[in-house]
Amino acid sequence: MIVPALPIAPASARSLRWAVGVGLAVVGALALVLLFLLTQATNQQTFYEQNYGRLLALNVAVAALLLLVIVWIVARLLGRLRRGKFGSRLLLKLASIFALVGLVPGLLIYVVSYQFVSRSIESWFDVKVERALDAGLNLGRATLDTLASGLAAKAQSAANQLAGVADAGAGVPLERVREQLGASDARLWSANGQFLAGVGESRYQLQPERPSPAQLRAVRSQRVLIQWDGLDEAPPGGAVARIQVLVLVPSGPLGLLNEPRILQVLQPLPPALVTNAIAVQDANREYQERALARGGLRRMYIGTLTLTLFLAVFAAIVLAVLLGNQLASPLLVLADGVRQVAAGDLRPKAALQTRDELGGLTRSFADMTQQLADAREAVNHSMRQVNAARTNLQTILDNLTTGVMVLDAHGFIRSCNPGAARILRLSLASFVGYPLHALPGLLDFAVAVQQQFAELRSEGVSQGPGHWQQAFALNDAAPGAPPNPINLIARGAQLPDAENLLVFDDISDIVSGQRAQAWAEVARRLAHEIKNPLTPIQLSAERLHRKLDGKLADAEQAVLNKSIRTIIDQVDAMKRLVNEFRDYARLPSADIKPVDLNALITDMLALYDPENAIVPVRCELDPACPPVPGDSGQLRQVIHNLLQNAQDATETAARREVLIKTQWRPAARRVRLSVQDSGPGFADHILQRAFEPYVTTKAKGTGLGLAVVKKIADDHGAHIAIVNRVVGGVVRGAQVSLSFALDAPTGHPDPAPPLATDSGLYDF
Amino acid sequence: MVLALAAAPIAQAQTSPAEVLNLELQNTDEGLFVYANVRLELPAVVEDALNKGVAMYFVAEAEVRRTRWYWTDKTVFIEARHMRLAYQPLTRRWRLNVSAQAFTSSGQGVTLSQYFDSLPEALSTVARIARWKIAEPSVLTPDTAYSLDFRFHLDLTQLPRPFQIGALGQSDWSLSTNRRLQLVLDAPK
Repeated sequence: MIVPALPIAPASARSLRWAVGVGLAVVGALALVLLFLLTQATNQQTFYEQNYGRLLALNVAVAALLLLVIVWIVARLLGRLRRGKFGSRLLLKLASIFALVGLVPGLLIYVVSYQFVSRSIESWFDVKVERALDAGLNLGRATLDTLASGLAAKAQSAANQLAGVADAGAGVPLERVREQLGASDARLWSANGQFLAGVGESRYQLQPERPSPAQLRAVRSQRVLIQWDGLDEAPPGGAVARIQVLVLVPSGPLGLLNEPRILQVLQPLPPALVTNAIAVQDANREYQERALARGGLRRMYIGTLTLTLFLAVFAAIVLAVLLGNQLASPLLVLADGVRQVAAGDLRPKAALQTRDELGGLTRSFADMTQQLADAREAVNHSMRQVNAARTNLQTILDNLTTGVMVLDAHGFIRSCNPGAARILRLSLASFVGYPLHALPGLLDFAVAVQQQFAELRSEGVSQGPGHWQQAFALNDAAPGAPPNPINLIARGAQLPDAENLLVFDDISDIVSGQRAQAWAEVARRLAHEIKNPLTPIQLSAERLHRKLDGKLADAEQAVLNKSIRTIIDQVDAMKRLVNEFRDYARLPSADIKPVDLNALITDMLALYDPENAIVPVRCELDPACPPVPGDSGQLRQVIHNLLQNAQDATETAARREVLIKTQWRPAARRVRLSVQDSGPGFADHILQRAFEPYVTTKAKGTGLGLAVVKKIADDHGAHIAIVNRVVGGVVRGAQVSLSFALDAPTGHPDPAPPLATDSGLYDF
Repeated sequence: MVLALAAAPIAQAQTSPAEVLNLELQNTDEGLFVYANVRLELPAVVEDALNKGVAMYFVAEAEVRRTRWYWTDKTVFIEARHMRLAYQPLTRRWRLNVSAQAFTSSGQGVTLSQYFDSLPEALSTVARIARWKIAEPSVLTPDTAYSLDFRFHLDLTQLPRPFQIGALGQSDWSLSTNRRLQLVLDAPK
């Protein structure tokens, strides 16, 4: 039934506990048996006389053993207490209470018994009793003495009568003497102990009991000898106590008998007297024995009592500890469980399988803890789910291109996603907690948004939750720079807690795409419409020249020639322009084959040799370049456009230099083609949008060159970048570079038309 | 032939209440006889108890052992002489009972009684052991090493039990002495 206080208690502790329990039980049983024997020993004479000492020693040993056990237990308890082990205080308290309960009655009984024993033993022996016994003894002795001396006196007078009697005739006088004295026997002995004559009961004995030589000697010297027979402490049943008197018979007056004789008279004592006297003597002896032994007796009783007390108290303490442990263990289990639960540990708790209320309590507690743990597990589970959902949501929000912003009722930013920052081109994280209108350049937007929300709120009261949607154009361009608006479409909705959700999308690309498409259509139609009349115009001009050549005066001839040339030149230029427009609008799809860029460039550089080129073109080709997948015709146009641009850019520059180079980058498996010039570079706002159509810095140019390059690069899956070459903080020129992937899927469909912006309008 | 072995008295501390003054062993045709003389000085408590009529028991023991070099000595026999000395207040005499067996509370058994008028007389008889036959002549093997242990003590176990408890561990009541005699016997002729 002993259940360890904690389920984690090691098996060795349990076995130790078992061993201690069994040992204690054995010791206790031994102590009880020994104690029983000891108490019996004080009453029974025969068996325990030899073993009393051993018994006592054994009992003392058992008591010592118990004491050791107690010392060990107390030391253990105190050690636990000092270590602050949980529950030791309760255990100590319980054990102390139980020990007290066992100790106090034991001590009380002991004290009373001690007093009782010591007093009562003393009270057995007092002077009066002793004196009475002594007096009884003296009385008996005096009676015996009186009897004896009376007999002796009579015997002496009788001896005088017998003085003259001869041995042979002694029978009659002896008989007379016997009758006179009332004796049982009367004998006459010679001095040396020879039987002379005898009368009485012993008459018929052949060999009467003869006085010893010492007696005879004593009689001769003292004339009278009195002796008692049969007055021993334990009178045998058959023996009769008697007085024996030996008297010296004086020599006869006749002198016949020189030798003295001895008269022996035996008189039986009254049996009542003998019995009483012997009883008094025995009683006296016993009393004296006990009086002498009372110290020992008291010591024995008190020793037994003390030993009993020790055994009882020790057993009580041991039992107290065991019982305390027994009682405390469910409480400890409970308290420990409570402590663990308070600390947040909801692991299953130990429950006692006893049938009492405490066991039930521990079971209920274990059930409760289990339920708590289940509830917490459920909460954790749903929390995990919520967190996962939140993480999902957050990931979605973070990766949404749409800007999402939560505003409170007063227009303060509560939170926003990276998309918002990207669209607004602001680091919004530092503006969380600020009002929306505090963002640079967003004052108008903020005011409009607030107004929309206010309207929504006023409507929402009557129509329920709704939303608003509105397009905005924000201009974040720096003052002085060409305007660069951001087109937004914003949508607002109400959130609980009077918060507002603002969602906005950057539709600038869509807007410009739509414009570009429109422009491309316009360009195509315009080109078509313009191209049709150009040939008749050119033919008409040539015919006019043919017909009128040589038929006019020199002055008119000169005018004609000049006009005709102008017409033809302008028509050519217009044709070229129209062709370019057409090319841009209807760029054929790329025909991808492996192209050796180096060979292509070398081939093309013939056109840019120093003789017929305004600006010399230098080239650095990487011989390691592998062929790249591409359309050689379109690549040729790219290189042509780039070199043309570079030459145009350096035309007015102080240092004219154009560099084209190729580079094989094995790590990225890409071939890089770059064209550098030493021109003035690009302004920042141009740099950002250089690939959009109709963006140009040239006085005469369609703004389509780089747009075509970009479109072809996109078709080839190549990266394209345009940067200013900055050396020491000074712009030294521009660089356009294309990076062709060797393995990249090329010729991906690019449905989006080339980008166009309003700024392209400036070219027309 | 009479073989007499005697042990000279050994000087003992005078504080000891008893002492074997001399010890003799005679091996005759009739048997093995012990002669011993013990100096007895009764402790005051013992004498007091005797005077008050409490009987005292003295035991003389003779143990003969064969000496064995390869093992502990083997006891051949133990002979004891129990003596009971008691004062008779009625007749003012001292009575001494001598028996080969221990006295029991039921009876005295076969005993030899002697009466004395005074304690010193009785004690001198107790302390002097003469011609005590401890063995028949054929018990001991000739030409063998034996040892005789003679012990004389006041037998407290015969006393009433409270006395024993009271006397337990009290030197007042202890009265014992012993003496050892090594002997080699010739064959009795």
